[in-house]
Amino acid sequence: MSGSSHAHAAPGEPPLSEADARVQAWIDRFAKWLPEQRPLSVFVHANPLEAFQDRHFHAACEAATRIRLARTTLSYPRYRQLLAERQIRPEDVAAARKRIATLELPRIDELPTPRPGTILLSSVRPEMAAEISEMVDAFVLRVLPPFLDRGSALWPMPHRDRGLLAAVRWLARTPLGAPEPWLSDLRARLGTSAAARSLIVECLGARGDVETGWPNILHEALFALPGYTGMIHRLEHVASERPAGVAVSLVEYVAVRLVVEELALTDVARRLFGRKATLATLGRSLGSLEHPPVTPQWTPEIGAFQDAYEEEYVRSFIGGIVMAQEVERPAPAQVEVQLVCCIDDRCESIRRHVEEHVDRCETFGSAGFFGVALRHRAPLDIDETFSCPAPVTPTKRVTEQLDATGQAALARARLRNKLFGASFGDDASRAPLRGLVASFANFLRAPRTLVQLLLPELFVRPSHEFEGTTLLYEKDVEPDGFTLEDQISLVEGNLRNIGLTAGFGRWVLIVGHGSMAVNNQFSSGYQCGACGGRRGGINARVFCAFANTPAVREGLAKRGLAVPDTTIFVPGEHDTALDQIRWFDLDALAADRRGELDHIRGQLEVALEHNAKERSRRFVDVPLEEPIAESVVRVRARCADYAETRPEYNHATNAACVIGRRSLTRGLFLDRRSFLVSYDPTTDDPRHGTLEKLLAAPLPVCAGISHEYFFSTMDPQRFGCGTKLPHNVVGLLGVSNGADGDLRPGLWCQTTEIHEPIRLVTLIDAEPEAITMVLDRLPAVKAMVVNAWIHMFACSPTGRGFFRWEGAGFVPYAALPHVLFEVGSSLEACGHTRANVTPCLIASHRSDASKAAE
Amino acid sequence: MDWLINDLASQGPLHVLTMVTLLSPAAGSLVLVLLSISGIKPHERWISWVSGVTVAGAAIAAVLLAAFTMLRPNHEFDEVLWTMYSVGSYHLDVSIYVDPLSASLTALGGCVIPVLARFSGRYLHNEPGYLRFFVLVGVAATGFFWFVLGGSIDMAFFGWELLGLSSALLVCFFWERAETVVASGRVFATYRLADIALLAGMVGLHHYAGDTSWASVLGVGSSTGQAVHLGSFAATSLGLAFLVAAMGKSAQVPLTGYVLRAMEGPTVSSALFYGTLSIHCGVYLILRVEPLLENAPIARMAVVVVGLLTAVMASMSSRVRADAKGALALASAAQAGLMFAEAGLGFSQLAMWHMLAHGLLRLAQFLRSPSWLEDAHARRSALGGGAFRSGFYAERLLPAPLRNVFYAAALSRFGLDALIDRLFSRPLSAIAHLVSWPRPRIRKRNGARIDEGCVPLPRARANSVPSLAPLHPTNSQGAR
Repeated sequence: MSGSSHAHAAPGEPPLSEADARVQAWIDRFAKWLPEQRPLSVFVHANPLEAFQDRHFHAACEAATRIRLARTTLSYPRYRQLLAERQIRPEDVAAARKRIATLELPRIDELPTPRPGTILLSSVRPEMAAEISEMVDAFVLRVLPPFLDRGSALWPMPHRDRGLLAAVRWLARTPLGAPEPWLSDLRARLGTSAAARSLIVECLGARGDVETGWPNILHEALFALPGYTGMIHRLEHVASERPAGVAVSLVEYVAVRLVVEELALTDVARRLFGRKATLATLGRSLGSLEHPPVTPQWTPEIGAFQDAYEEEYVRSFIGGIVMAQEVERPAPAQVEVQLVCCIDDRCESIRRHVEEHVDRCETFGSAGFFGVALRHRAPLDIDETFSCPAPVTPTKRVTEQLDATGQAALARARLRNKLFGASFGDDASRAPLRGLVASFANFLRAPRTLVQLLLPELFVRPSHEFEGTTLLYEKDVEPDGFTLEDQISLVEGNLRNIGLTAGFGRWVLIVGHGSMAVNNQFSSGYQCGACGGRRGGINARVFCAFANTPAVREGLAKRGLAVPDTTIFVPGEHDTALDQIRWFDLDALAADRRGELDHIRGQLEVALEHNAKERSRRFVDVPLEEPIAESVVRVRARCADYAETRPEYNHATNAACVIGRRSLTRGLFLDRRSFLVSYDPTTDDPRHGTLEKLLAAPLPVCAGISHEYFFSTMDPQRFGCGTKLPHNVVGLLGVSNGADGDLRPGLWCQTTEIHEPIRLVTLIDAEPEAITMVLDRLPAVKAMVVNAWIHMFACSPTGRGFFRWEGAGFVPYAALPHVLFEVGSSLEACGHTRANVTPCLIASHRSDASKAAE
Repeated sequence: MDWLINDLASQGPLHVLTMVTLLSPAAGSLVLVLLSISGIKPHERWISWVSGVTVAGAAIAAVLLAAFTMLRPNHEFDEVLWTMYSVGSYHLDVSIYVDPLSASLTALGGCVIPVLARFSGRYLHNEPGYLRFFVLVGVAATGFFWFVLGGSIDMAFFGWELLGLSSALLVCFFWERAETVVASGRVFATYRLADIALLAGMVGLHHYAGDTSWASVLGVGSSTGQAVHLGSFAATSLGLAFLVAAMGKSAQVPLTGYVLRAMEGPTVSSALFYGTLSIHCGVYLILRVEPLLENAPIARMAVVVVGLLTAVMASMSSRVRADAKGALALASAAQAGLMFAEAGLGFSQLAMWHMLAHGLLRLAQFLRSPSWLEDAHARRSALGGGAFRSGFYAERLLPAPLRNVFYAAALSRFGLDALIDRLFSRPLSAIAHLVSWPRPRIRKRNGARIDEGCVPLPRARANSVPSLAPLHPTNSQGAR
């Protein structure tokens, strides 16, 4: 047990007593296992076992089966099926078993076996246990949603600023606050001033011994409703996500839960053993029960199966890239269009199609916020939103301003909305009399609603945010804006990161991404993760505004990054569900350049349609052999369809990450399975500063996405949130099943259904020594690699071949001979099947490129 | 115009439409059930096609039936389709009765059910219970049309049962989770209470009036029915029985709590039952038996009181709910309460139109509930700031301490669920424990922990594969 428990006492408070310290230490220890998902509006993928990335992957998987009671592997029958289908090779299993046997995995957070007589919910009769959980959960789930509510309830809970314990005390002494007869002692039991920790100690003391009983009781209390417990834990630490003015504390929740549990247990004891029975009576009757040893759910064998399963993908993916290096795939000699996309796996296909269909074009992958972290306020917005990766807190502000007529129109619309909304809007419809008015007013809208339910394709309307607005970002108009120096550094930084330092074309298209989907509770999970679960267009717009400024260009030239005057940066936003790109700020272009751009946009349109067709093969209701144009209509109609639970498949197919030059993967069909981060080792500084930046930020993000998919696929109910259909949005925080259910963090079945659970296969285009050096400077990332949370490969840019991280360092990797099929186009590679496709070589790239070379 | 009325609204076409309406969705469900028990695993497209055609056919027929009936001079259509048996003066008929009231609710169901069936065809894609869902939709549609169009209370009771059964089964659509099954049990129990009351009303009506067909007993529409001649005791007790039945179906105080439990089902079924159809069946029943209430001021008063209490209490509880579906469900109950009050006060036309309008509104709101978060943000931007909450609510007028007392009560739904638990559920389960012997023994004798039931790997399988050796006895090295 860590000795850090005393750190939890605030500086002014006296140090914790021994019992308090023990309780706090166990809570801290278990809290690391709680799912920590951000509130729904800022949903970002993260590894549910992130706190254990410094332990070996298999050790964490084993412990999760005990602590979270969740599955971390596929089932034996499934592995045997894969073995029979030759998707797992027996020799890999044998090798993996040997490897795991030598690891000597520690058992993390082992719980002591409770002594007989410990009063655990799981040790009373199952039907009683079910009833007790139902009673306790019914009370707790009545109080928690309004307590943690971020603005869903029309009538906010009073007294929640004083914390959960105080709020429950208030309910207990208010008539009808806790009307259940078995809760009649709640008021007396909670007292008036007892601290949460002392209540916990008191409750625990009545139910078990310190050494073996307490940890088990606390474990049960914390993991009875893991969704809410995890959310409380997160909100306790992240003030910005907390509902304004509410004091949230995990310890208080545990105290309330234990007290309520105690009352429920007493009630059951009374029913079983008569009116005068107490907890002690129950304890005595449980004393005769022995706890049998629990059968392990994770075994080295099953871990070996998983390793072997992943090995097959590793072999085909790395093998494909190795073989592709043997083939000549020249890039266009003269580049005119440079497309910078997000690193997203969804952008792998669009980059491929753009390279196939746009003349003299090359593509780059940069984190979708393009290095510009900002606070953003759109004309319609009341609050600022952070448009940057999750851990960053931006300091710079960008405000969008409408022109005068636009602003006047907006003010009028607001007044109208206020009047209408207050008298018969959705909120008003929940009051009795205004509900009557709202019902009749709805007659006007009802025909449209019914048509939309039946014919969604008539209602495809792409988002129209931030069009025709002026950006205020200069320091002199916006106090928190960007100075010229900031602008130059940001542009320089991002261009150097992606290795675009010379050979600029006439057009640099900076394209962020977003996703249109109506009626989707996880809407922000489909947006750009690098923009904090928001659309990335604004970041692209700001970046281009910087990069097109003559003063910035001068500054860049002084820093050795000469951007020709003919180069124009154009911001855009790719809608990954609709497969359309919206362009911004085109008015500033001269007429002749505008015509040139329109030509490129025509070619891009073809690429986008092909991309939509490629995506459509995953949708079972779109026939594979259907012509492109028809599939595109179907794919776009999904976005406006209220009934569509799969508007797009998001990151569902992610499996790999390539950090390196496009020459490594250009002309390869990677089936939307790979994050592509652009990095040029030849222009990096001797200390590999750029590589360090890329390993520190984008790599953990990609790994987090991959891990969240991994675990949600392995256990869709405990790590994932089950099917989307019964979901109910609670408190603008998360979703639950039904009206009074636990919060469900994790990913939904509708996205994990086509996912292959594989740890991220990372390939870095750099010398193994350089990577090792950089990893030594990044302990968190190194821990992830050393502990096998991701597969790490290096491809030496000087032709020394491929290396694989094994154990403590890189060893040369000899890829087995691999068949690399050559196909005419991307659609030819995948058009015949809905399953995953191994890497293929696309011939059109070669012919195009060779034409260009001639 | 006359030829239209004479030809279309005559007995013949209406008879055909009636048969299609009453039988088609049931036939669809039957086909699906036969398909599934025959071992064929029909493709999703077939399932939604069968269900869509039969349900939409019934709905279109029902809407036409309603429309043609309105063309008739007296706006009524009454037909005995089949007399099941008759003993002396007593006869049990399968009959239908259409008048403006049933026509209006039929029109609502006719618009909504096929749209939702088509919607669900896409929404439920890849769910294991796809076929079961469409079977239940067929059952629900059958129940709804029999209830609304039934010519006598016997037929209405049959429809009422089917509707209740299908909605309880849809609540536990995801039956692999224990919570949904428990919730479904609660819903079913509440419906049983309503069923008992309706059955009592039915028996009473048989006893006092000797006949149960709407037209002759209640004299709805033009003629004067027998109900008007009932004594005030009979009228009151029948009225109260129908009120209890209606309270159960329409989630009126004190039986409101079950609608929250019912939210465990897929969102479409929540929309169909608790936003649109089921929740209004109680209102329909009250409107239907209104002539009976003429003679029973106490029952009429009770209808108004229950309705108003529900309107106030459920809307308060709805306002403290922090979740989307719970808030909508309680708001629906509150509106149904208002309709009760309107019906009890004699504004039956208003109640009828209110029912239609509200059904369409809640349908859209329920189906949109996954967008709750975005809608909240959009509303906030549109309103130009401040909190998410908009408009004015009566409790804001109260002084803070009193307001907080109301808050606590609204949060626990005025303690009614706890009260019902104490008065009914607990004693009932105690009796059940007494009479069920031997007690079920789910737990193993060795006292194994109960959470083993839900651990992911089947233990027997895990143990039976101790190593890989038996799988590949000969060559585990480099087979390829």
